[in-house]
Amino acid sequence: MQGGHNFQSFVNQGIQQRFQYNPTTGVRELFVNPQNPDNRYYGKMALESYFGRANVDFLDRYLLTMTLRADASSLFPSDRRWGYFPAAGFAWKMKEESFLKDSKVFNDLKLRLGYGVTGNSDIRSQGYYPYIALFSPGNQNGQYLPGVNVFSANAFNPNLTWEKTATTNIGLDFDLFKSGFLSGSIDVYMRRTTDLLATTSFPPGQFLTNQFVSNCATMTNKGAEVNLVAKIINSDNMNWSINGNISYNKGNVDEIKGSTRIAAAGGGLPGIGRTLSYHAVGEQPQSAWVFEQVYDNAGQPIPDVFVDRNGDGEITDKDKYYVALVPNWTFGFGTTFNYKNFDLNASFRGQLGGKVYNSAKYQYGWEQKVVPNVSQNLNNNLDGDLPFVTIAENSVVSDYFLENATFLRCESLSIGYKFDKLYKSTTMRVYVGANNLFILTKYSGQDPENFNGIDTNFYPRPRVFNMGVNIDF
Amino acid sequence: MKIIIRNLATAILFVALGTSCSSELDTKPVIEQSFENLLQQDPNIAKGLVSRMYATFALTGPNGPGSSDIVANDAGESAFLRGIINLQDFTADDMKNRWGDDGLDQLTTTSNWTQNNKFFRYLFDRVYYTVPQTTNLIVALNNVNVPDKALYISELRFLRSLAYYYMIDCFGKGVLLTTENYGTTTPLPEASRAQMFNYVEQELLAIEDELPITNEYGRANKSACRMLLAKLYLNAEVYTGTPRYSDALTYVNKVITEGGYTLAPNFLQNFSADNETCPEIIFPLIADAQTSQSYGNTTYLVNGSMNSDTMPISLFGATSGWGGHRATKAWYGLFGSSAAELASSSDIRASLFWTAGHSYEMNDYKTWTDGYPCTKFRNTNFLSSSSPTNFSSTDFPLFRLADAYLMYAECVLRGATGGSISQALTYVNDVRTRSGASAITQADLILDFIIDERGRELNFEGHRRSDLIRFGKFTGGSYLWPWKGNSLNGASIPDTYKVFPLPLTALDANPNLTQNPGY
Repeated sequence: MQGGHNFQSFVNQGIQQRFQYNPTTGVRELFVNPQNPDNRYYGKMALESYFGRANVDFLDRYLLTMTLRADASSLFPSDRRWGYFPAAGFAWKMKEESFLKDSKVFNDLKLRLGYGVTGNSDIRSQGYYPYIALFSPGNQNGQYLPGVNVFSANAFNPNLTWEKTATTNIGLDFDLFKSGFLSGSIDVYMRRTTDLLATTSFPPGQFLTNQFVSNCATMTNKGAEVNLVAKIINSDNMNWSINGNISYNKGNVDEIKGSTRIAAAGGGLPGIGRTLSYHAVGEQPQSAWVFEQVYDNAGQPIPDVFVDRNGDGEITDKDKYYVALVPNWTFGFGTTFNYKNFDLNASFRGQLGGKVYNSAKYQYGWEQKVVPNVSQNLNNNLDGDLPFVTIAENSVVSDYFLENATFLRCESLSIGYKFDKLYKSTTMRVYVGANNLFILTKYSGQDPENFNGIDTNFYPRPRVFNMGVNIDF
Repeated sequence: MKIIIRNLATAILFVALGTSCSSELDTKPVIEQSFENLLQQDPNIAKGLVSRMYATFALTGPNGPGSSDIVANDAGESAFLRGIINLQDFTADDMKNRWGDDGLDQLTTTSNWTQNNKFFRYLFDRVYYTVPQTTNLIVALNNVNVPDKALYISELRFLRSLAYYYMIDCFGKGVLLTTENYGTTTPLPEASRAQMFNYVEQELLAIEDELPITNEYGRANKSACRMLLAKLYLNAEVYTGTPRYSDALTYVNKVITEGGYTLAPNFLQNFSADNETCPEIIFPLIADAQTSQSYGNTTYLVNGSMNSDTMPISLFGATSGWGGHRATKAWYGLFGSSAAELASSSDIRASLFWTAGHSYEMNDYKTWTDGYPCTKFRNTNFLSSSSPTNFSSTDFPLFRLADAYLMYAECVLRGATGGSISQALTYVNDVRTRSGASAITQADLILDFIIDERGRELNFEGHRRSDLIRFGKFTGGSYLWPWKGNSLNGASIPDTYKVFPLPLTALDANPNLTQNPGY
């Protein structure tokens, strides 16, 4: 049994000097805020944890681990500050059982069952005191009535608490055949997140601003992961192994407090103030809410013409539907090959399905974009689909801009040769390699792999070639 | 096994007990302060809190032009005043914008309005920023004793009513957050236009006596309250279906006779950087090039109308021109049907358009030189010389006496009791002759004349859309202007456009809210 206590305190403070160009004289000068002369900022966050762990090892075959954490964060009000996070894991070393002990097929076999709750309190984007009613002084450009310094009531949420994720997991670790020919693991899990912390719109007028962080949603993720390593050749002169993994995950938004839909973080389209992706009840998290585009006979989209999905004779938001951006299937594989002094390593990664929003198409691919707005502007990019003369309102929230994000990327490839005994015990390895060597995808934009499913890349991901020499004295 | 669990339970108990000692977790701010601390420090700080509430109509945030009180795509776009201009003037006949921002084009062309348009959302969110913020302060001040407490509370109630006025006028429904129900977290029920009208009416009637006849410049007094009340009554037929023109006349008459305001000798004084000295302005939204900066106060009107491509912008006190807004012939056509006629007009208000290098017709609203930029608002002093600045120092005259004069005349013409047609004629001619326009006769004084005179006098001051709706000219096809209904010569627009759609974010956050018909 173990127990422990941990206390952490972070203080973020500093002073700043600010300068301005004098509005009258144009001279650069110190810009002093009389209410806060040093432009001082100060924030303090404290975290405290207690934890206990118990291990039970029964007959060397049945292993039970139980932990309990109690965590407190100063970002939450005192009555909601402590989160209790239990976890229990059970493992059955099946290989130790009499029926497998002498097996030539099974070098190892272990069944795992787990349940655990973890907590998340990462809301520091909302400042250090998000639950307290506080007033902040305004700066010297934000005054109003002459001769009096303004103070502004900050938005706060007195009901903030931990986001909790409970994971139930069943897994199998195995090592099969002679000299570990095939090893790996299979896991099936269900994760349920409650009190999800996210920035949401509050009921208008009932809060000190329009959007703030709250514990607003419940989500479930179900999935499975398989990892395999095959040591195909394993001899003195030659080694060759292949590894691979594939995972499946499907999420669902179960509940949103007081609503059916909230904007997903990072789900806004660049430059125009439209939200593309939402967490909507009954849908996968981060789903794009879009119209179904209508195309002409030549297959070109007809701007602002959409399918009247609900058949009411007009195109409104009720005709939109949800398209999950996040892929359900992701995978990776690689290989390592050695022959005498020669070595080769390669790794690949990819996803099956998922969608990416090609925002470059609407940002640069319409006629009006190249018409100078004011004469100093130079927008001479015209790269895209000409039917769009201008971009307005609904035309951007079309499934036309959503493309299949399936891809296979060669993440790295390297080939090396090692010179033994170059001089006395000195060895030297010479290698050439490449990162991001190629990508196979039908996606027409820069890169199908984007954090929020919205491709805003202007520059492509770099392809890096390297060669080198390692000398070991 | 049992023992282990019991031990673990003991450990948990220890944890639970341990928590009570963790006072270190109550981290305290240093720069930000609680209400109580602020007042302890200086009871007069209450005025700084009230000042901040006035500022919510002109500034986007407390930390200069890049800061925003509300979460918005662009801080500068989110200002209350900028929203008023966008929604009241760009949607109407007088002003058009050419930037082509998604959402702004739809306002300029009165077409394709949807619940996703961020410019509707900005004004909606602004109202529902000012309303809870003022209420929060009213509740807090109710519990303490500070100098001028009663006056502050009345001023805050005025500001809350002013914010609600725009909800009534623009969206026609909403929720009613009051001092009494402040703090409820379950979504409030939807409030109808009539309910909101009644609430604002009662609030203004209640504070009319509390507010002084004169107050410090920039702060609400009796006349500001009465002016808002008169505006509410003037539009009552639109808002509730019941005309209240006599009530409107009563309050506008009080403004005129008791307020102590006089028409500025020169029209331009109302729109110049030193207009804090102007005797005509009843309620200004303050701007200052140094201390009160915003991309959404008059800076938006001045810089937005400037473009060094065709005009010497320093002549109007600007250092940067955003090349966005131009008036249409629906405005300058009220003075003359060509640049030459405008130039020869004796009306000073006809001279406030930049015609050189621009065409009279707005064949393409996206072309800067199509249509005349309006130079009514400028950042130069009227009484003295001044240097150009990046931000404007011109206060926005939200309410001014000339508006009250024209409201008086309109009420009389609409059959209000308590006034006289001869007095109405005097007021209208006072407004006209002040600017060098010819006096009219009583036979000329009809409602159609009033809407045109309101255009000549008050365009670009955030009243036009409401005025056109009141005169039955905004929707339908009886009155057309350039780019109405997204058509060069104007096209009919549906009656549902008399109110804007509620933003989707609000509908999603409060399920009691329903969308306006037609959206």
